[in-house]
Amino acid sequence: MSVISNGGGKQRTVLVTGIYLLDQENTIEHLVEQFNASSQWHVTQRWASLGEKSPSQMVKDVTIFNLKNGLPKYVLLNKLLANGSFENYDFIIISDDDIFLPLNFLDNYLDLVVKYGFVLAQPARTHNSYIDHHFVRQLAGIGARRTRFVEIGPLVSIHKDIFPAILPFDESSSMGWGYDFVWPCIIEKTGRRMGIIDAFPIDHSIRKPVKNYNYDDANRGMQDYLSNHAHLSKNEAFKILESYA
Amino acid sequence: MPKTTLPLAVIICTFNRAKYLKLVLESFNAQTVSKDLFEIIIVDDGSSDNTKEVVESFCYTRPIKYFYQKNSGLASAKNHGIYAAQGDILLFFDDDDVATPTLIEEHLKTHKKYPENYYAVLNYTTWEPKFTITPLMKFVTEIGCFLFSYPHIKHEAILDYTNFWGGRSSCKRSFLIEHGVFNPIFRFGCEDIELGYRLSKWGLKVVYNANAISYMIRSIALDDFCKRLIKQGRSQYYFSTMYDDPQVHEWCETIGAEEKWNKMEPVYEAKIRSARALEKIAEVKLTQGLGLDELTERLLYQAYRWVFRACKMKGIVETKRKILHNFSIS
Repeated sequence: MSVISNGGGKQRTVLVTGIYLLDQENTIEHLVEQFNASSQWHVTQRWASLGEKSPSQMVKDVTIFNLKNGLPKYVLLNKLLANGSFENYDFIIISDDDIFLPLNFLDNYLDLVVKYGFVLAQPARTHNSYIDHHFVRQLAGIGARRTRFVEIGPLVSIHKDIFPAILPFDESSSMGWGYDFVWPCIIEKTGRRMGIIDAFPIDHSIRKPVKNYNYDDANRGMQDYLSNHAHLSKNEAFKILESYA
Repeated sequence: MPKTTLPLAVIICTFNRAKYLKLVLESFNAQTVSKDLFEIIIVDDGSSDNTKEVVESFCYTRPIKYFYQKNSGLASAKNHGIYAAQGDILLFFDDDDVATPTLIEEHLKTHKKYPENYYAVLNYTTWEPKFTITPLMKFVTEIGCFLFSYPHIKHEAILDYTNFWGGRSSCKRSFLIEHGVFNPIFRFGCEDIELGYRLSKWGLKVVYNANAISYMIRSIALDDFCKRLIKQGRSQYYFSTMYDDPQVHEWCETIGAEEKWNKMEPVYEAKIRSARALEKIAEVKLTQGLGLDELTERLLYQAYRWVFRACKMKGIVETKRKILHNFSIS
């Protein structure tokens, strides 16, 4: 199993970044609190908010900017990443604002990500979650699996060894659709590993996806993006290469 | 970089059946098609016997992909196998069956004839020819149709989802990837038909190939079969609650189950004792070379039929009551 570089005894650092919608049901308070609760990682949170309402002080303290009108998600994420450096973090976590994390999520999740050497990873989703791809639903009986697919959201972790390969995000698919079928081609070329952590699934059930943007535009963007990049089909991507009980 | 795809993957999910697995794997080493054309995937659903060692002992004869998971049930294990497979076609195969030499050849032949994504193939299963067929074995397959049962099916018939039988069906992997995999709520039973039901909305058809043959190499006993049917009843209850479809409820036998079980419950234990006693009589007659007379056979089959229906009702109703009880106290 190839090992990902793990800080070599220095303090391990994580940048958590994402966008939260002030005027929609969200779990941002829970997320900020959970990410701050890590005891094994030095966590920096860098969020952007969309909308009018005012969040709590705890959330405001980690909000870099607010927009009254939206921009495409990955354009915004690139702005967040550009706001201060990101290259020196061990991991970047991109998080949506409508998920529930299990207790001690960050420490437990990254423990397994590091153990299995996943430069790109996601937690599996609980069975009650909204799901676009059944492949990411928690697979019972195992703790993690090495795969050819990691979904772009609602939470994904990126290790610094592949920052140059996939960051900043390609804005030709500004909602990120299609990244998850292109990334495996990029990562496998480097001989790296990607996978899904089943042991600590996240709950994505409070807000139906694709509610807040135009499905047709995002789909068109994805088709254009895929036609210009080497990518896997679903049948090729939804593969377990190894599993770990 | 992962290998390119193969024509077929055999997915065998297993739990504490190491003593049969050797014969199962030997049968796949004796196929008429080249070993290069198919892979074998074993998903060990948390066995505590020497399953892993048996698999390892075969790895010198051909590559076998072995995946272990903590015991999570048949549906989860099958999904594990689906995602691990390189094969374009997936053959779900039981861990207590053996393949005849042309099994894979016949599955591939039918898929070639019916290449559309939505076609699955059902093979014929019968008892291992060396077995002495007991009255129970004959009843559950040919008379009562509680296990693999084919009297009503013709070769190359195009069948519906209720014939998408796990352990003896193959389908196109891409069809599952596109439209769905097994529901992990089903630890045993119904996982195949429930998935078949969902896939039927996307056009699933099942082609029966009577020339694709497998043999069951594990004999059955009355009490074990009763336990199996109770588990089956449990799964049938779960299945029936998922869809507001009268056809599903009819297949799941849940209509009027409560009333039926209320009548059956008071005499359930006595009926099982009676079935055991009749079995004993039949066994004595057969071992004495007297043959099974019509009366004994009829009474025995009546007993089996009653007991097995009761077991399913028990599974259905006890599961329903448990869920409602848990719901009321939460």
